[in-house]
This record gives sequence, structure tokens and C-alpha cells, in this order.
Amino acid sequence: MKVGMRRLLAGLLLLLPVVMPAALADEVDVTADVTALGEQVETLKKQVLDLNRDLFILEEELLFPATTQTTIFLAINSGLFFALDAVELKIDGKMATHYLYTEREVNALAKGGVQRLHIENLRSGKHELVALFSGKGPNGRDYRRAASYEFEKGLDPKYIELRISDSAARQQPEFSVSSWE
Amino acid sequence: MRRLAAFCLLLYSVVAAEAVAQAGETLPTAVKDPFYGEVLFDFHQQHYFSAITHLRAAQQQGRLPHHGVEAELLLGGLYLAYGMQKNAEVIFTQLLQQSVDPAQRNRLWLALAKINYQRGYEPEAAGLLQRIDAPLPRSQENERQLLASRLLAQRGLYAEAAAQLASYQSDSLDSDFAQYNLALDHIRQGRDAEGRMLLEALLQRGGSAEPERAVLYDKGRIALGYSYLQQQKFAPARHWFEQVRLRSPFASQALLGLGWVESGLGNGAAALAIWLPLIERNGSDPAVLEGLLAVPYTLNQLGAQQQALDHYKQAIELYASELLTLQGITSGMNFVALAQELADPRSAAEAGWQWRAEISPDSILSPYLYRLMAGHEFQEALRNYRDLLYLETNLTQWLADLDAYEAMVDVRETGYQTRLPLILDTLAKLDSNTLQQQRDKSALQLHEIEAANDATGLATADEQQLLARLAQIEARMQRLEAGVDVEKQQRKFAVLKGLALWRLETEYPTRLWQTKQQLQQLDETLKLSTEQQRSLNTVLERSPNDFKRYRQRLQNRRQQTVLLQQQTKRLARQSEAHLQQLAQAAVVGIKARIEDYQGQALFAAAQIYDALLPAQKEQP
Repeated sequence: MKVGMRRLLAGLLLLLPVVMPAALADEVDVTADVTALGEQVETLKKQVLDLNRDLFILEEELLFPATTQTTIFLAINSGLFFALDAVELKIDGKMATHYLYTEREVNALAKGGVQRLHIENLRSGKHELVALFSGKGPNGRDYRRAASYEFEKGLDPKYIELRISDSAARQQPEFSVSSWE
Repeated sequence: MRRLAAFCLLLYSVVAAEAVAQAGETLPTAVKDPFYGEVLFDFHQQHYFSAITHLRAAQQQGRLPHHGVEAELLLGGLYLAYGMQKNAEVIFTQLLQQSVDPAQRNRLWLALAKINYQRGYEPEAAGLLQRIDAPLPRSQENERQLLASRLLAQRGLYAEAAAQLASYQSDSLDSDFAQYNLALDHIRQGRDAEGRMLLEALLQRGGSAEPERAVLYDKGRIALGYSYLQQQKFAPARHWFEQVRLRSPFASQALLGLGWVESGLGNGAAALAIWLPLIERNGSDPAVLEGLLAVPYTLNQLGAQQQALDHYKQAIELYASELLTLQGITSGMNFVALAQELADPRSAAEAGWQWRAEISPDSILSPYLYRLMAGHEFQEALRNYRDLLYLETNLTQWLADLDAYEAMVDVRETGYQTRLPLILDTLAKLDSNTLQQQRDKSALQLHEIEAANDATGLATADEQQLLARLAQIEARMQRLEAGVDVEKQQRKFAVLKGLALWRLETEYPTRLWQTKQQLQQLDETLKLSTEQQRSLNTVLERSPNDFKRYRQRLQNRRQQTVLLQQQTKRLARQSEAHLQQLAQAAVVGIKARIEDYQGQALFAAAQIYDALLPAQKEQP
């Protein structure tokens, strides 16, 4: 092979992009400056996260004091018989929230995630919650079900869970509401 | 992206207490504390920043009593996913010092080994891998073998690295990438035969339906083709070049290689037949730029000097045009704007280190920055930059919120001051002791009524009025003289009185029960009232201090926020400068290569001119 051709080939081989494998192929070629910048960014991230934690707690204390705080969570068990689209929540007859779900959120719920659906301040005493779930039921049909729950709010924060689960025996979804002790 | 997708898998497998199912899917985590579930909700949506914030807040508020170690593991994993390796390492190391079960310990060794590898501490990573003393669940075992193979290859132990890969029981893309990289390591070190063997084994696996795998296989074919070509093994070189897909991004490189195969076999005309269409392709493609030299070189070899000269001229013009384009790009390039667009924090803002920037194929910079964008250093710098932009947005948002919260505290304090006299007045009038005495008195009366079975004791006001009138009538009747028709009136009175008493007696049990119920309700109301009174007293005592404390806390946080915002801005500017340097260096590298081609073309053209000149002079 001629020298010119060899030279061209050598150049082309150098041009071949090196594909990095998952998790392993990173070349450790960063300069000291870049490493220092990366470390500074990590330190800053930690400081901002610390601040976010403190601000998050402060915000909750300000907006939802423990004596009145009532939090509604939503969880899904399995979800074979019901694909959640939306939840409408009323507390003491007043609309509290209407939440539409993305596919990503539904997947996160199916993997064990629990959504903090709603938080508000309620006085001590008896209250009633009504949740209306809508989505696709068995055989892909439109499906709407309501669940109601009466609860007593004391001076401690109140946590209530809306849960959608599958009833294998009935081949139907089940909707329950309970206090999370 | 692949690297961090694998990390995420590891992360999930670390945090999920359940074993990885055979299909590689993970079981949902059993949530015992709702706030732990909330963190998982963020985590599964790759909202790593929020997940870390919520997790650390919940830990501080003591809201995760059932997920102590699990939460720490998750936090370590979240730090990893958010590009905070040092923080992750601290957590994993602390967990290892605690008594966690052996399976968990092995997973932690693996996580730490990967962190060390990523930070460039290969010997430490290898040492940590050796501490794993039992097989891991499948996905982590694959991770371990890949890492071990890569570490061996870096130490030059290629045979051992290949053996490690051979035991890798996965048809995943990760293993293909690992094998490709190992093969290229062999070729770069001059062990072409070993490298080719690995590549051929990889390509014989087939199954290139996934776009990423198809691209990788084309790269493998190109590498094989050029490796054979360098050793003048033209037949296998041609075979592998011909296997590259026509629509592959590497088709131009394959065409160039095929041309060299024909040229090497002495088939100059065949080579030209391949290269002439090649040089009609996009002039920014490195293979096309090389083809522009290869065509006149071959024409010259075939004795077509004039045509060769024409093509050299064409190449020189195209190189000049490309250089002009590059000049325009470098002089007018607003790379900061491009970096901001690439790192747009609004899209997948908290995606962590799984995120990878992609340049639009329509961008004028696309052909030039392709290799830069593929590079680890650039992507890492861009991720840092993207995270900094997100932090900046986050802090700006908090500053706005802090304004609102300060105003809210002011409003609350004003409201408190306005309502204070009314509250104090109400409290002064509210005498719990008197209320309690009244209740006790009523309870005693009820007890006496019940003991005496006195139905009249539970008569209503109207009924008591009626009974009083009946008593008056009875008294008046007793005063009437004889002779008057008393008997008739007495009978009538007796009926009326009987009716009234009968009604009281029959309703007595119901009334007694109702009265007891009312008394019970009164007890509850009194209890609630006492609690509220106590609570109100506490509020009255604490409120002035609470307002002061809240103001102080808000002010402190504001100072911190402002300070961190300044630091974020400073680092973002540094990051921009670094990205700009990388981009400019990439463009300068491309420019130097084109200038080199241009020099070669000019030199070759001059040589042909020299050769043609005597012949032209000889012509009449």
C-alpha cells in the first residue's frame, strides 16, 4: 500500500468515534481545572439542597401548622383493573383539588411511589372527604368511582391515604380511604 | 446516557429491598411511611432534586421511622443519580460501617467501586470489587463483570479482560459496548487479531433491531474493515464495509473504505466508481473530505493528470469553503446561547446524570460538534452547567417565595394585633369553672330524676306550664262549694291531668336517654373548649415570639439564598467559559485537519502542474 494511502487510513482510524459502554467506558481525561469545577459544583449542590430542605420545612410550618395540617396521599397497588386518569377531591363539600395524571406519574405510583395529593389546614373536629376517581376500568371502559370518609381532626397533623387496589376475586378495582397512623 | 442508565438500575436495585425478578423487573417497594413513598414517587419520575429535598426534610422531621437504613441507601443512590459522587460515597461508607446484611454489603462494595472508577481511582475500584464475596443479583453481577473487565483492560491485561467478558451472561447493550471498547483497545495497542476476533464475535450475535445497537454494529464493521485494510487483507475488509447499512451515519466511511479496498487491489477505476458519488455527499463529513483527496490521487495514479488536477482544484475550493464556514462559526459563534439551549433546565430539569444533551441535526454546528457532543468531558461539563442553571432558577424562585412569606408573617402579626383585644375579652368571659359547675349541677339533677323515676322532672317548659295550670285548676276546684256541679268538672280535670301525666310517663325513657346523650355531648364540648382555651393561651404566649422567630429564620434563609445564588452564577459563568473552550478547541481541531488536507491538495496539484508543464510547452 502506498504511503499516502496509509497516511489517510491512519487519519481515518483516528477519526473513528470511540463508543463508551454503560458505566464503564469513561475516559478519565478531565483536567485539574475541570475536576475542581466539578467538585465546586457538587459542594454547591449540597449547600443548595441543604437550604432547600430548611426552606421546605419552614414553608410547611408557616403554611400548614401541625395543629391544622391535613395531608391526603394517594397510592396504587398493582393497578391491573384500573388505569388512573384523574382524582377529584372534596373536603366538607368544598372542592379541594382536581388532579390529572401523566403516564409517568401513574408509572411512579405503580412502582410504589406515594403522591402527596393535597395538603390543607382544617380545624379540630369532624370532617368528611369525598374522592372521585376516574380512568379506564376493566376492558378499557370509562370508569368512575367515589369513596367517602369521615374523620376526626385533632391537634396533631392528620395523614389520610386514598388507595386504589385490585380485587382479584371480583376482577375489579377497589378504592379505599383510611387514616395513616 | 447508557452509563447513567446503568447507574439508575443499580440505584433502584440497591434501594429496593426485594430481589430483582428474573425478567429484570423490580418489585414495588413496600411503603410503611407515606413520606418515604413520596420520595419514591419523585425518584421514579427522575425528579432527583425534589426526591433528595423531600427525603432529607422527612428525615429531619422524624417522618421515616420504618425506613431508617433503606432511606439512607436511597439517599446515597439519589446523590449518585444527581451527580454527587462524594456525598454518595460518604453515605455508602457509613452504611458499610454499620451492621448491614452481607447481600447489602456486596451491593455497597459495587456501588463504591463504580464511584471510585468514575473518579479515576482505578486501583481502589479494583480493590473494592475484590471485597465482593458472593454472587450478586443478575443485573448487579453484570455491572460487576463489566467493571472488572474494564479495569483489567486498563491495566493492559487484555486476555483476562476478554475472559471476564466471556463469562458475562447478558445480551444487553452494555455488554456489546464493553466488547466493542475492549476490541478497540486491542487494535490501538497493535493486537489487531485479538481485537478483530472480539469484534467478529460481537457482530455474529446479530439482533441489531435497536437503533443504538445497529449504530454500534456499524461502528464495529467499520473498525473491522479498516483493521483488515491496514493489513492489506482486502477480501475481509470489503466484506465488512459492505455490511454497513446504507442509511447508517457511517455509510460514507464505509464507501471510503471500499474505495481503498479497490485501490489496494489495483482497481483504480472501481475505486473511483465508489468515491465519485461519495464526494457528492455532505462536505462536512470527514470521509467526504478525505474522499476529495482520494479521487484525484487515484486519477493521478491512473495517468489522468488533467482530471486529477481538476479534482484537486475542486477539493481546494471545497476546503476553502469549509474553512470559511468554520471561520464564520468561530467568529460569530454565540456558544453561551447554544450551551443554554442545550442545557435548557426547563426540560427534564432534575434528570440528574442520566441526561445527555443532543444537538439538533439541523444546527449549522451539528457536523462540527458531533464528536465533541459524543465526548464524556463535554457531556459532563454540560450536565454541570445544566444543573447550575437549575439551581439558579430554584434559588430565584425561593427568593420570590421568601418575599411572600415575609409579607404573610406581617399580615398575620397585624391580624393578631387586631384580634387580640377581642380574644382577650372572650377569654375573660369564658369561665370554664362556672360552666363545669353548671354541667355538674345538671348531671346531679338528672341523677335524682332517674333515681326517683320522676317523669315530670324531664317535662318541657310548655309541659311544666301545663302542669302548673293543672295544679292551679285543681286548687280552685277544691275551693268550690258543694252543690256546684263539681263532680263532672272533677272527672273532666282528672282526664286532662291523666293525659298530661301519661304522656310524660310514656316519653320518660326516651327523654332520659336523650338528656344523657346531651350531657355526654356537653362533656365533649367542654373538653374541646378547654383544649382550645389552652391552645389559645399557648398561642397568645408564643405568638409574639413566633413572629420574631419566623422573621429571623426567613431573614437567615434569605441571606443564604442570596449568597448561594451569587456562587451559582459565578460557577455557571465559569462553566460557560469551559464549554466555550471545549467547543472552540473542537472547531480549531477540525480546522487544522482541513488545512492539512488543503495543504496536501495544493502540494499534489503543484506536482501535477509541474509534470504537465513540460508537456504543454512541447505542444505547438
